[in-house]
Amino acid sequence: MLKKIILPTILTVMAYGFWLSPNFKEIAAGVAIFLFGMLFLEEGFKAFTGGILEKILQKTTSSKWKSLGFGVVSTSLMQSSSLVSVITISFLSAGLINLAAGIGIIFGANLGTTTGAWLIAGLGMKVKISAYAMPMLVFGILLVFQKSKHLKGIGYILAGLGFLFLGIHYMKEGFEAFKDTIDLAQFAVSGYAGLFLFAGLGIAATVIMQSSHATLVIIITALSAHQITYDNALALAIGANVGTTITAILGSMSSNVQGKRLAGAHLIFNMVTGIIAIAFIYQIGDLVDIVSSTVGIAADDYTLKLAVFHTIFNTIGIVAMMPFIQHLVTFLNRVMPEKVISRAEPKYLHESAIELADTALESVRKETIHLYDNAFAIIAHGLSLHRHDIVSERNLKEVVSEPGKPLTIDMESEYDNNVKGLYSEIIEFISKANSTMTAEQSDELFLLRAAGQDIVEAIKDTKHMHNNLVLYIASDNQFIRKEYNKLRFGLGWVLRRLEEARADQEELEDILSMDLVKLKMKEHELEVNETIERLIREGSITAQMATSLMNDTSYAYDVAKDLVQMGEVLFAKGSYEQQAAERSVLLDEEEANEITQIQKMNNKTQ
Amino acid sequence: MTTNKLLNAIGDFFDESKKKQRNKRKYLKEVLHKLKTKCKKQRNKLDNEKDKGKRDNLQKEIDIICAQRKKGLRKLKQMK
Repeated sequence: MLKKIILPTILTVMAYGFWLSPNFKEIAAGVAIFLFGMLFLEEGFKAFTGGILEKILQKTTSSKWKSLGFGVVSTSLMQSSSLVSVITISFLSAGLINLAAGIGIIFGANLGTTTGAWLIAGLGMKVKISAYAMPMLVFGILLVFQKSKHLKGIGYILAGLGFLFLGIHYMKEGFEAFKDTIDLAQFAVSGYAGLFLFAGLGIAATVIMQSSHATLVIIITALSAHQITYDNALALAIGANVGTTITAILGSMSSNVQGKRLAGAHLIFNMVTGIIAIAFIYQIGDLVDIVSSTVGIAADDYTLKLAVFHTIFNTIGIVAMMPFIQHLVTFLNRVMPEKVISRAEPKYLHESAIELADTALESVRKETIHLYDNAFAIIAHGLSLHRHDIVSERNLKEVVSEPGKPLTIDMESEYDNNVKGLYSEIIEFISKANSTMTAEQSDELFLLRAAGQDIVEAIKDTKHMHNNLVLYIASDNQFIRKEYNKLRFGLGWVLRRLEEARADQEELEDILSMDLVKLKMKEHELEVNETIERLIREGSITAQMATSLMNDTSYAYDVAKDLVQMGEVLFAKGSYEQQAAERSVLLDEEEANEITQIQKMNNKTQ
Repeated sequence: MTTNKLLNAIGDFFDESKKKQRNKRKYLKEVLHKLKTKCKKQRNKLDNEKDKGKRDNLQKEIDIICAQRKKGLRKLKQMK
């Protein structure tokens, strides 16, 4: 109900305000243009998130200080702590970074965002920046229409900056004119009452505009036009810092518990920093005066002093909170415990990852590996093998020939409960994510979808052979028992090789050796067919047994083929380009058959 | 940075397809190099192996690596 009322009320109040005061209209238009510039800027930086940001992120989040540095630098460059926090939440949800690293980035983003105040106060108020805005807009928009992704990105950034400057210009003009009609400074409230009142106003303004930058620019322009007092401006800046967490909180709504924990950390940090700043406002004010006089800022240059204040109080927050990152992680883990996810529920697919193509790809890869983990158990049990035997170093030949009761498993319901739903979720996520991807990323996504399909096919083929397998590995006929155990050994070996490829950290080696697996399975199929003929001839197995064995050998070959195809995609290491290069030299069925034929001929001549 | 490298970097920035093509060649060459090293390693192993079964397996692996290398070289030629 409240939601329905808020927007119409804001619109009506603003419309009334515009009717009352053309200057207010100019200021509001300035804010709107400024926010529009922020949207352009974010769009521009998204063009560069395809790979570059992710690579930097992996290298720069190994320690909390590095994470902090990454937060400072990226936010200073992008001029949006909101964008950095939303990206960090999606990285965290996709499992690309851990919570401590995420918190480090968020702390850094808080310091990085203070460069905005310096830019606005230092450049925006001193120089006639509208003169720079016009050419930036023209060049920016021209570049936006270019085909190249990078040029387009630069175009968005330039146009974004142009709009930001233009917005600041309108706000400045508006406040200058406003000064002549109404003096807002007469509403200034002194003491702690004023502090809390203006901090509250700062929070409200930032929550509405979802940008602390926009609030700051209003504060600085109003301050430069002497429409608010310096003390009240400080309180507004503190409020803006707390209010900015709203974007992170909104961004975390569609993410998993990790994302929510990070938004929690963001809120705690900004609240604590805000409380410290309010509690020690006069001491910090003195410190600002000392720093300002040291760096040569005039005593009455309140706009730059506000920028100094903004930087100092965020630095104090970081100094106060950095030693407690690990405690914060423990606290957040306790307050927001991991929901026990059933095996069939997706772990990595979150709406927040859809916007960032590379993160979405990584999420799909991880979820498909999760799907494979569920499938592994079903396939292994379908073959009457235990997972722990396959992943161990035990001799597989001994494992399959061990006497014992075959494992009975309802493959249909196992598939329905642990695979089908998860696979559907992956497909749905893929179709949503595909719309934001480049051609290469779409190709990669297509391969991942095919890998998911291979997993499902492998389960279905295992299901087809399951009943016969259970029947014949317990048969009194040693010949048929031996042949079915050979099938179990073959598939168990494939599963083991895949696990090795998955665990192997050395790039390339094991994915390329998947061709050896393919070749061996083909040889095995040929060998079994020859054996079947011999066994029928000798009367060792019945015709019915032979038919079952032939069919199941073919199913086993299909299972192996599907699993290898899946492994080539899911367990490949390195960048997408490296993986593509690897895959391009893998042998197709015809090429593998050729080798088998040559080897057969060589064996005959020896 | 040499002039050539700088020109390549600028060229890449404006023409993504050129950069992609060059990267494709670069990574394929890396794969070929690794296959060559792997092939040498397996040949050495084969020379010192006496067991018939293990020798057969090693030979199989070498044949596959050779076929993969041939395929890769063919692709590299096509890229020129």
